[in-house]
Amino acid sequence: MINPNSGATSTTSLASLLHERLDPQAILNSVVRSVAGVIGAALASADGRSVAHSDHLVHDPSRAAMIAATMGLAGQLIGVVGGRQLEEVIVRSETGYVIVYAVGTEGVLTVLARPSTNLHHITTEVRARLDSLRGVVLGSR
Amino acid sequence: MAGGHEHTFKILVTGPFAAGKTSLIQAISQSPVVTTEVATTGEEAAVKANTTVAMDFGTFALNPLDDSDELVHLLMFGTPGQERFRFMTDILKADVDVVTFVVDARAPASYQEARGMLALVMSDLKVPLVIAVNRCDDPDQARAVADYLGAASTVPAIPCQLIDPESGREVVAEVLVALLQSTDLALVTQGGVSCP
Repeated sequence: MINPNSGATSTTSLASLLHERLDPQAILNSVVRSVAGVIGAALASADGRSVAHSDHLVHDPSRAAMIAATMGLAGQLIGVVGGRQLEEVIVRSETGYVIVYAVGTEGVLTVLARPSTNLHHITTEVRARLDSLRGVVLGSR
Repeated sequence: MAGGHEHTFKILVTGPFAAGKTSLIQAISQSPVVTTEVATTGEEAAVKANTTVAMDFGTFALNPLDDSDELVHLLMFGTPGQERFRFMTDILKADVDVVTFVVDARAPASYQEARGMLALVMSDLKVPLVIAVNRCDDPDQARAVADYLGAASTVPAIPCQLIDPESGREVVAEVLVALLQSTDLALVTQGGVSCP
């Protein structure tokens, strides 16, 4: 027997899933919600243009440019250890972390987190969304 | 080396987007250039494919003509051109010895922004300024561009084609002359400036 309510629920879930996969702010909000201690997330193009940010983060064009510059330099620094593909940059202070992930070669994802946050969990959650985020960045070009 | 001294100078290469800053450093650096170029997006992508997001770095050494001469190293730091990266210029301009400001003669739409950039970058510096007017062969036009940018008449305005290394060396020569005039170095004792 088909339960019409379960079908409605599935449709709602699918819509929600699609929304989360396609809407950049929804993707970033899901990163924030998925790991305790994450304060915010922001997506930018590799050349320093802001693409989207999670709720509660203010729009700050200079943040996108600083992140792009950081990744630009880090991309050169990895050559010191023979690396070719930059994956992430972690900046730590007593007040927390700024973690920057390469989103392909076209974008950069910044995650802000409190000092007690489990970085491994953040990385796992981010990696699960990298393809979607890359699609967003490519779509914004 | 016997008799001579080594001197190292920091050169800031700055100017608006797509003026030719990276090209200048690539044209004259004697070491592999450190670049931070990525693909350009948005309206800027229509102007050029790649853009500097942090800095370019290159070096140039003026070899002594004899043992009594000075050995001069130039460390060239190139900035991004866009307004959103202006903080990099503020970082890179610390302790600079000469500013080389690059502007594209064929991009008059950039002149107004360039004028503001030049005033800002020089506002708290007391070092020589050299203006490289890219994609220009006419000294009078180069002078007119420099005038428009608000540069004093004593500031050298060099017409150049920065895709050509030889043209880039003319800019370096002018930088060295500016250093000579601002220091007590005796860099060039005979035969003019020696270029690689």
